[in-house]
Amino acid sequence: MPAITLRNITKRFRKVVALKNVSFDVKEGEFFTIVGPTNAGKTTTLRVVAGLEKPNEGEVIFDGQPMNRVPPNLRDVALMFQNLALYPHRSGFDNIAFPLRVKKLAPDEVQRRVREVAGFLKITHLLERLPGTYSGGERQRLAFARTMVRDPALYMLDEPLANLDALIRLQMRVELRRIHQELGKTMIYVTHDQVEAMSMSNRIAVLHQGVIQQIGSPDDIYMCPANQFVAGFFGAPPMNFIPTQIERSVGYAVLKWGEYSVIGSSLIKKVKRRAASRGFILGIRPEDISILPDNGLNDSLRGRVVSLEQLGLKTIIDVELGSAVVRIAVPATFDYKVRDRCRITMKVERGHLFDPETGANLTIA
Amino acid sequence: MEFSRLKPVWKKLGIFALRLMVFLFIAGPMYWMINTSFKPENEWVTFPPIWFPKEFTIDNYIMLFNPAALADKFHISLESAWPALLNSTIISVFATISCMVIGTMCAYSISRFRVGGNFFPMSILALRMFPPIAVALPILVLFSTLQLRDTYLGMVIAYACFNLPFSVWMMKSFIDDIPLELEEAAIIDGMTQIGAMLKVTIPLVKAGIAATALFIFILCWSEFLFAFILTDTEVATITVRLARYTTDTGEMYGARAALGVIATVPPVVIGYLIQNYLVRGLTFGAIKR
Repeated sequence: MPAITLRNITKRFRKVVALKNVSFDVKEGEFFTIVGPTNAGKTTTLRVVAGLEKPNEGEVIFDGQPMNRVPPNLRDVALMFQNLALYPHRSGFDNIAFPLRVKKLAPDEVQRRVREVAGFLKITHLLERLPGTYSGGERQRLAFARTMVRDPALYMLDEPLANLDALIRLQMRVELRRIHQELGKTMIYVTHDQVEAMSMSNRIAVLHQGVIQQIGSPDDIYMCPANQFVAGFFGAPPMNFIPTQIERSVGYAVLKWGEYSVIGSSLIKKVKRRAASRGFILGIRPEDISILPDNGLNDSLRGRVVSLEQLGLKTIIDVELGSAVVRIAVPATFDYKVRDRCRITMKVERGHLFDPETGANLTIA
Repeated sequence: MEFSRLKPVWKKLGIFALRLMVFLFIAGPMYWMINTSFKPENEWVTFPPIWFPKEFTIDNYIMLFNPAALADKFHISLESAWPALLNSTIISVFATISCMVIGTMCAYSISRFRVGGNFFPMSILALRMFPPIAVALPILVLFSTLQLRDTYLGMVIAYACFNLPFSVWMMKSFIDDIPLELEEAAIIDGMTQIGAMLKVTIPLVKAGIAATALFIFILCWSEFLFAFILTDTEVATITVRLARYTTDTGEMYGARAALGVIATVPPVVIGYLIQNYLVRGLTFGAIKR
């Protein structure tokens, strides 16, 4: 039985629809991530699960029990807010102890559990101080300590790493995974960062404009994006999209844009659904494109380097192919310059075809 | 020549002069009141003015609290000022408390639940948009009919009502500054809405409460118009009492000044006691954290 089920949740704020028919299951012990751009409805989803917002339609179910009418203080969930919501007038100790004192636990039990959690998160030495004196990472730990001290059935984390320096963010990412593995608790994690989502989750739900775009494992989402939005959201640099027309020649079909064309038979064969219009949008990941010197090979496309972005480990280059520009990641040893001519080969069979009107991926079932 | 290009000496002098003017503007009347309160009758109104009492006397203070002792000297019979002090204290304290309790709860519901949308909070403010004298007569009639005139209850109700807009709006701005998530975190941690308000939000706006309460207290303490029309003998306040130091032979500036000095003490003492809160409270909303 899934630990948490959302069934057809719709949430409106006056006329704005924040969530539209959102449904998903979270399994016991799972690290479930909700990812999406700003205003996608991620936080609203968490607030609905926590009971801070009442959905206009739909049901929230915990372990088979309908929860719509249960107030947040009786749901046994913990929510770590994006701004952490630490009580600024209470010491670190009192912040962590707060949920226990609400439950009216004995003082020595409170002491024991706060010390235990603080030890686990390595903030014991800070307990006497006010949260205002903590560094960013320490505040994060303090907020997490308050979340976990109660040993709730469900952890919900709203962009917990958003306000941290890049380096601390990496550390905390590893740490959160360690915590999840050690606690084995169900966690719902909200982020706008696709790298966080990919690297930490068991499963990911992609949310965009209040609608679930796709739910699946990180691999699924990366390899078989349900639509153009999901395809473009994951991966850095993101997938390249080229609007193309199909032309059939003897024996094979080509995808054509301007004067350029690639042989697309293997990909077109995979199309399971009929597109609304004649054209397709060819989606191809940067790693499936390679760049060669301009040596006159036949099946390669002639292009021109438009811009270079050196990132140390790799270099991102933009190559102009007629009306389209593709981004490619190449090793840092790459020594082209802007305006250099080059040749491009694409592993078209590894790409995807999207419906130009609905954005749906036509090459997956 | 721009001010910033002046020589440092002139700049300093200019700033000093400005400060001196502000200081004199505030402290001058205070000094004159204290000065007058220690003067004998013949020095009250003179030209040229007497800057420091030639004959230092505390008769004016004796007159306030034990007028019988000076009956021979002044040939008038006046009541003691004690009841007025007591009345002012009772009315101001209870009006401030009621105003703060109602105002804070009202501000909380406006801030957190948007009670009444945009209209209600603004309409509260509208209560202060007309000059008080405009409603003085209707209120006098109303209070007389309800037999609230010249009673503590009547005065407390009147003051609490008139100052409610201030407490609501000041408290609203303080509560608005406390992130809603703090309460929501407390609710998720097992508290009720009311528990979260009392245990999380209210402690965080303590400074705001102190600042607002002092402000309201001073307004009540120094109010004259309504005290004058709504009180008579039973609950006359200090401000009303001050107006009564007029005799057949003229104004009793000395006694008036002495009562003024005494009336200044409570706000100053309270302000001093809560000054730590006050500084934080009055700058609370201004600081970006």
